[in-house]
Amino acid sequence: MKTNAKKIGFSILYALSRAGRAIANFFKDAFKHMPYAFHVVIHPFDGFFRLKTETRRHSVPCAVLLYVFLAVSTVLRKQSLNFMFTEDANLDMNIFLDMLVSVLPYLLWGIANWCFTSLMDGDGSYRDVFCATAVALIPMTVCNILQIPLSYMLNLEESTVYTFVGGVGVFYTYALLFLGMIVTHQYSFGKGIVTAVLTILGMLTIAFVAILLAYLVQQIYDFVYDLASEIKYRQNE
Amino acid sequence: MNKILKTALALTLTAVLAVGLALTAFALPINSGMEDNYFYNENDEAVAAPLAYRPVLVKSAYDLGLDTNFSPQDMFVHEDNLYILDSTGNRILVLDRNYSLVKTINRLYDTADYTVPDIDATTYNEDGTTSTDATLARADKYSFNDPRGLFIDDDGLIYVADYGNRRIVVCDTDGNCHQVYQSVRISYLGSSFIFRPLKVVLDNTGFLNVIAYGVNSGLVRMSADDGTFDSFFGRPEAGETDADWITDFAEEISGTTTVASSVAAEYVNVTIDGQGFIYVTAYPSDTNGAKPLKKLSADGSDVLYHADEEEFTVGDLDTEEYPQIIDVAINEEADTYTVLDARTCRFFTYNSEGVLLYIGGGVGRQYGRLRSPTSIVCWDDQVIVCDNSNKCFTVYEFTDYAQTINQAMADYNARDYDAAVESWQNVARYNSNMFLAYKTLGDIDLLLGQSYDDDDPLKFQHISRALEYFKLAQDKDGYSSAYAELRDILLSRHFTLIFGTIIIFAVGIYVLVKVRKYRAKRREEQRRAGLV
Repeated sequence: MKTNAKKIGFSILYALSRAGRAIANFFKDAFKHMPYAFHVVIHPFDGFFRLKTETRRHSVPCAVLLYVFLAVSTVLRKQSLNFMFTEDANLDMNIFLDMLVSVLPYLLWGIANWCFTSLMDGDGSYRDVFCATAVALIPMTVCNILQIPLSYMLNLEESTVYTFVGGVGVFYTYALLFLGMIVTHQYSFGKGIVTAVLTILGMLTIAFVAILLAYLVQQIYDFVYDLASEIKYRQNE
Repeated sequence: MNKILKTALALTLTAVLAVGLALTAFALPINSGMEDNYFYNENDEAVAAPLAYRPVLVKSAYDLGLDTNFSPQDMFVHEDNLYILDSTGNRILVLDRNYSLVKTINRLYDTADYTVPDIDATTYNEDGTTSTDATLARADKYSFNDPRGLFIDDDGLIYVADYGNRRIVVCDTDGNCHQVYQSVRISYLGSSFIFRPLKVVLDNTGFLNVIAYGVNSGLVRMSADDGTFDSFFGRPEAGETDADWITDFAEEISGTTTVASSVAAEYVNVTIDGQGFIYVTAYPSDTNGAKPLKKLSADGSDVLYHADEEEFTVGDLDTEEYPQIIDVAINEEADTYTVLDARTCRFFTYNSEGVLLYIGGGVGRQYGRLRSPTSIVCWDDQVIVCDNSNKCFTVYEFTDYAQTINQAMADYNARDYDAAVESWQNVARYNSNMFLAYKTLGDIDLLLGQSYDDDDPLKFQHISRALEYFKLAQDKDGYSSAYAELRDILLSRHFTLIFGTIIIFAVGIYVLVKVRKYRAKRREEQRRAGLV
């Protein structure tokens, strides 16, 4: 009995230490590769190529952290902007939903892009696409954060500066998404544009199928629920 | 022990219950009977609000000592009398300040210079022939027949839109007829058009502005001298409706032009204010895209001020249905207008900038409620609404709450800012959802703050308070201008500190870079020297 408790206690401690070490490794890895990600933003052509080809350059933990940064920056911006730059008060907002919505399109982009490029003899694996997309999100994240202090320095008449910064972030990110795709898959410019259009169509298709699936699941659930309640009523007869 | 505890518990519970009951029983009957009062806050959400209009008098035909054949259609206030037009009793009731009946006008008389002409019973058929309406030919020309509209000019002459007899009658309070306008022909409206007036208003230029049955081209403007048709006034545009872009798109790809899908709405009611602006109301629908309320200037364009021109709303906001603004009353003194929504049986008072102030009325048969209201008028501080289904008229008075708002607006307009601050704060105390109170308080603080010098601590105090008020009112433009003021104050106050820091940082970074370069150079030299 005593030895059993000891065993359980030790195994829990062991599991905890393993988990702790895994988390520590995750962050260590992520932060080690972070400077290179910023280097890629400034030198995209060379950077994306080396990100893919040189194994020591790309890291999935770093990419995951970049996605998280975008989500956090979006919420942070929404919550701490100067009052006059905020959207109209929404009383039933949900921070987690906001975070998901801010990241979801780019995850979808990655999936759709990988689907199409694997058919159109692209060179990149899903891991490459995932990392390249994460790096492309950096300008948007930075501009989101930059807009917060800016909103406290400007008033509505000077809001063009504020809008401009936001626009630069979005434009830079889209440009990097495109360049990242071209470089990762070794495409020409024209083929890149075709793939981008196809990827957007693919995103829409995935969203459509997902909605359809959710609807169907709902229907099945309703059917089963109705059936169960009918049986329950008949039981007593 | 256990028993004592149980007894004590039971006693405490009973006491709490008793106190609770007593409290509810003796609660102040502030809004008793009308507790569903509401108001729209800055996010256009309906929130509870204090009662603004208290019903003080309900009078039916029975109370006035008349037969029950009574359906009030229109009202008008002239000098010390209230005139009520009864469309089934075919008469005009004249009431005094105490709302007791003074006189009934139900017969017209010939005067020395004017004889009432025979009723024009001619019916114009589609094929160009004419026939005579038998019932109309037999009708008594000295009485009204289903009159719908009432107007009284400065001389006390009464204009009645006598709908059933197809004419407009001008008479005095004794029934002596001065003029009859009938058989008005308008060639634009086709040969089968029959003039059947519903509402009438005399404007400052001596023209009669008439809403005629079946006319959707605007008000029929006709000369008050001989009754000839002049022009259409305030011609409504068939507005863009939601479905129009589909029609446009279909036309675009098929290359054909279809008949206009939206048809302009007929006006429902017309009122004129002291400055000569004519207010018209209409019922919007999915197909006509009409504006529910318009204020027409001399050239017939809409000059009704509304902060959000894109989304003009009036009446109830949170319903899918369109409002049915059946009448509008203008309060010159308070500079407000009140619209009567026949669908929700409520009336909404707005200030001259189109901001909602308070809401009154409600559906029902109870005291102070309405079922199918037809007309609304303002008489000094009272609002009178007449009801066709309840067959009565109801007099409403401002409550303290509404009076506080009126007082606050008057103080602000008179630029008496000390008084205005106090009265607007009172308004906010009554109703913390009244965003206009916070906005005005913010405006006042901003205005007062701007009158001080930049280095005056009072300026800082005023402006920062204005910021708080604007935030409460969710007024971003006001907040922005107050924020710019505050920023300038802080910048000029801490100018040396801010720019000193920036310069020190710039110089520091420059020096650091230089030192690092110098060191790298030294190291390189040493390395070379060591190698060599």
